[in-house]
Amino acid sequence: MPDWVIQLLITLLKGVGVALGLLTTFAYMTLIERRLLARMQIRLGPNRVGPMGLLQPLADAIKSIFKEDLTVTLADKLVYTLAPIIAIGCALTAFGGLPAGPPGSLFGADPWVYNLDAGLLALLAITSMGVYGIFLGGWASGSKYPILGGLRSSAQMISYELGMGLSVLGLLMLVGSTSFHAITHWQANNGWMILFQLTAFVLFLISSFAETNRTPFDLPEAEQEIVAGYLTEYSAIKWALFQMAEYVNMITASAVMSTLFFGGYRGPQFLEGLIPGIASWPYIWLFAKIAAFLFLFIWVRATLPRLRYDQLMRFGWKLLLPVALTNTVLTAAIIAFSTGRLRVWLLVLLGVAGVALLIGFSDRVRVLWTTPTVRREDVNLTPARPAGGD
Amino acid sequence: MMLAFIILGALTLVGGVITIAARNAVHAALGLVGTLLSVGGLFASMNASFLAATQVIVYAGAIMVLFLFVIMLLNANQPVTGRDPVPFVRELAGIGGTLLAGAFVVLAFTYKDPPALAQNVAALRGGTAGAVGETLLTRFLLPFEAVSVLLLVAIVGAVALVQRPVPQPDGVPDTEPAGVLSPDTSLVFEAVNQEAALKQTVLKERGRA
Amino acid sequence: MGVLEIAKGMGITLGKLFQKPVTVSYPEQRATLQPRFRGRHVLTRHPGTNLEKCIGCSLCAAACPAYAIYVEAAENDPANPTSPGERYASVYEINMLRCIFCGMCEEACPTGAVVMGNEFEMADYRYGDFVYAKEDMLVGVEGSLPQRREAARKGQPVRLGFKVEGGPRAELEGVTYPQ
Repeated sequence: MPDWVIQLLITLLKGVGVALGLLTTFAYMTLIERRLLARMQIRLGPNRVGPMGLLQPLADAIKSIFKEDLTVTLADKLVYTLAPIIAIGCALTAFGGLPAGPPGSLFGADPWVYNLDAGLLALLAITSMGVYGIFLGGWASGSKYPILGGLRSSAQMISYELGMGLSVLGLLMLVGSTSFHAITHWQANNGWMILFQLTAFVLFLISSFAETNRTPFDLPEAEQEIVAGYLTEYSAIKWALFQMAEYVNMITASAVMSTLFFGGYRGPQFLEGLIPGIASWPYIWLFAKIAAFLFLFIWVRATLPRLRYDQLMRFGWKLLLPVALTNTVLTAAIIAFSTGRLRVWLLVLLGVAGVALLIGFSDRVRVLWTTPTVRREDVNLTPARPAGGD
Repeated sequence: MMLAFIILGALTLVGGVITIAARNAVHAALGLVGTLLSVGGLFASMNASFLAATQVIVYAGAIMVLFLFVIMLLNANQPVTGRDPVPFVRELAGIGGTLLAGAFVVLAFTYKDPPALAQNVAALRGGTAGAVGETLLTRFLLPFEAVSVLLLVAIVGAVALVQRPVPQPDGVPDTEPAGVLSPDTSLVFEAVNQEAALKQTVLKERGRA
Repeated sequence: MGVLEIAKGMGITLGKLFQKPVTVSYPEQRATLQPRFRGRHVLTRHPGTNLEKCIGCSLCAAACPAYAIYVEAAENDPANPTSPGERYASVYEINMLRCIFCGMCEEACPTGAVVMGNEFEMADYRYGDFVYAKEDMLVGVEGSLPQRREAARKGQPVRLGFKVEGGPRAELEGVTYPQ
């Protein structure tokens, strides 16, 4: 066999492996999330199927596959079917670019599926395509609540994508590369990025919650307002695919945050003194960090209520975006006008000061997103049509 | 590489055809998304991964989503029927299209790299962010800024088009009771209320008439 | 400070994570009922003589707002009386699907014969099986019809899925529930 065929086969195998791994994680994430949420609400959670409910994901999978696959009469059949596939496809593709270990640590192969120079940008590009899944799903359902969910999701995604992209700009300037490998190497040499870009991390974290449609930003599927949003008309395996996409996106966001701000696949350096070489063990560090972030996602879901939609928009545009922009400009200034230790201390100071200011003024800036911008001209006007509907 | 180019080029064209041929506006927009993605793929196949990522993020990820957003919001996805209001549109479009296609064919067969552009292409080799940024902000600074001014003009124009000549006071915070407004805000409210009352009386009179 | 309140909330949820859940795993663990809980009726007997308290007067049937009770009275055999009075209930049936468990029968009963017990696990498959006869409700019968059927099938004693806090009421003479 020629060399490129072998390479192609290895890449294919890795891709299939990543997809299977992600889907298994998704299946058990649903169980773990339900159990943890239950425990946080002093309940037990699902524990009937198998020992400790461990076979619950299997039962759910069987149910999803064998349920009747409903299609609404008004649905646009092609797009209706395509939407969940787009969603899950983009979600699965996005994870492949993240390195899970040092080169050659996967039985001699590299522990990533593809490696692009534009690493982070490519990932942002792929996840931004994931919006289409939700959006088209909402439209193609040919029903009112789904389209509202779709509209909400697209507006939300675009708004928070900006904050997300801007918040990592400072980091990219520091590293001087968008490749995940370069970012990981830089952190291995200089320490975790969260030390230098604390504000950016906070912004990125909030945007990640919004991008993955998780509480408190889960408005596209706010059941009190719009039933299940874009999911309303979906059932069976298509619904399961959407759920998969949401959870896989969550896993990807966790992995990205670990890679960008917490040293990626490398463990903390100070443990080297105890067990030599522990910091460069592959997989376990990344997986541990992903697990920690996933726990955070669940924890926040158990705690925070949902924002109102206008608050969500104002929060994104009036707080997140300007702060991210300021952070970027200040980081750029520090990088341009200082060197050596001074630069390090200035960056640390910038991060800490930014977060401290945000916390300190959290009551003052809250007005930014709780104040509605109402057009008062409409007040007290008699309705054009008689009351009582048509 | 050649195979990738042919496939992606074909996809680009198919997407373009769908864009203009589809009856449903959403399908047309999706065709355009396909075209933009294929162009991104073309960039990627030329090792310009930065350009490819930017293409996908900006055009397919943001602009087209906004397009679709507007289409769905205005429920403009009904197929367009009826006759064109302008006479000879089809004929004119046909002539224009033929001329354009002819011009492209002529260009394609007579095109020679100007030396300056070749230099830039060399500088962009690899298509990394640094090279693109440097070229944009040195050699092509003027066109770059001109484009940004153009966008600014577009934004200002859009705002001017939707602006209504009515005072729009910022609302009251949710938590604040209605009684503790600042004096100037209440003045504005009074003005607005008076106007509304006027409108009401006018409506009433119309009702009587 | 808004952020601190969020942190406080997060702290509460994290603390609850380590608290013992309040859920009762019902069929395995017994659910706790209060003594005043009105469940399946019990027909009590006089403690000393072991005679049935019910004298077949049908006042319960008259009081029943759901018409769930059917009583047929018969003369007592003087040599071998079933109840202390002249007559006793030869047929005493309550349709548990009609019964609304209001306790009016208990209040109407002049001899305190029919008393609301605490049992509630009466889910069954056929309409006919919900008509509880005298032998299903007399003191000493433990469990509902389906529970006793299931126990007989398995050859095990009837297992009640609840316990009564502080034991059954005084009116329920001779009835024992798990505590």
